[in-house]
Amino acid sequence: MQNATDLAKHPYVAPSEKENTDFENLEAAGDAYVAQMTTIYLQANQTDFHILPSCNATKCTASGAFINDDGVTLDLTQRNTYAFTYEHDALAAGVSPVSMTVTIKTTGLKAMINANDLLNKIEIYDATAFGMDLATGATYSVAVNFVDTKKTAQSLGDAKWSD
Amino acid sequence: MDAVHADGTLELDAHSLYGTMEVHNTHNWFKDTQKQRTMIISRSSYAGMGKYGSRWLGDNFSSDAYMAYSVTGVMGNNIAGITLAGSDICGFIGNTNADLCARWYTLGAYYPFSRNHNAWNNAPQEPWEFAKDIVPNTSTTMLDVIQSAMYRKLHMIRYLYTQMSIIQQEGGSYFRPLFYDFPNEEGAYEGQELNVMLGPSLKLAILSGERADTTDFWFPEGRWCDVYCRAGAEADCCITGTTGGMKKSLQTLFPW
Repeated sequence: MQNATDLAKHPYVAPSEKENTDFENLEAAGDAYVAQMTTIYLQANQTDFHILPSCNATKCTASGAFINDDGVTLDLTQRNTYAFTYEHDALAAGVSPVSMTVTIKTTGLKAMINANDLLNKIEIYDATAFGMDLATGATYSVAVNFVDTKKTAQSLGDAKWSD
Repeated sequence: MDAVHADGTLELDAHSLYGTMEVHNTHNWFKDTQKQRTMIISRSSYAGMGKYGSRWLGDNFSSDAYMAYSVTGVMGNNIAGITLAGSDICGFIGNTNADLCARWYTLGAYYPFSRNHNAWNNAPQEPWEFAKDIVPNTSTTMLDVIQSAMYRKLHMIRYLYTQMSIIQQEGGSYFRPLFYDFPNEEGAYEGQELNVMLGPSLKLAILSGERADTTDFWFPEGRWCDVYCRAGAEADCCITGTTGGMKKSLQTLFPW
């Protein structure tokens, strides 16, 4: 694969505010822009969510959807639909948000179809403007909270901002 | 138009419907008897065909002008309810060249339906034909550029698949003009061949006609960040469309 800096200029593709977008890894090893991918690779790898939140005085939000199925079925119950929302508290410019919440509501099969049902990472655009300070490498605690209150919250430990 | 078919149907009621009816029946046969999804590409169509099949824009020419026309052509099909549409990448009539073909692949990666298609007796235009054509002042070949365009399509395939699934169930459009999403902005009605909404979440700014070093694109009000931007300061990856939207001059494809 050629070095990315040798590539011709790319088109400008921009996410709309408030919308979440489902991508395969845009910065895979060996090339900052694109990875060599096949449909087999795509089915065997997890999904990234790309977010550009829109802010009002109190919070920044985005929402979106992802649909995964085996590509063959005609039965709409045999697919997984993920409706997700994102929110973080809007503070002064450059001040890191206190909390970030991703809510995912799943309908359909609710069982693994392929690796696309797994979340790889969440990428937030314009993070510096949102006060997500990459320079300090601050850590944040991450937990999964279930809508079903019979299940206890599960801590995922600390996470560090990454560029 | 007052002719009568053998079964008594007025030609007025049947004219232009043949293609759509053929797609409809083919789709239903596969769905009902084979329990299979279909991918039917039709050249003839009438209102409603998009529920059952897809369409390409017919015979185009290998030229900058036809590459630009393709953007509004695909938009027109989406407006008419035929979502999975695209034009012949690299052009169908006449000989293409490495420069045009590489740029057309870059644009065509964002069509809902992307296909290279060539007429008999023209110069071949398979991607590997351009493996020895070098982008000036670089070590990159035109084949590299074409490969890169194909990979970009795959990067977005989950988003495209999700949007197509939603449209299949609820109706709507994918490759559409800005005024669909920003009807109150005057600039959204200009430069259709340069500015495209890809579903509700992505805005594409792309040079689709003659090569230019920079091009003025329209950005509606709000914040816009380049999904491919990974180098340099983050602030350089995002721009802000001011109230009422704004024109923004950007460096475009192949600025040599």
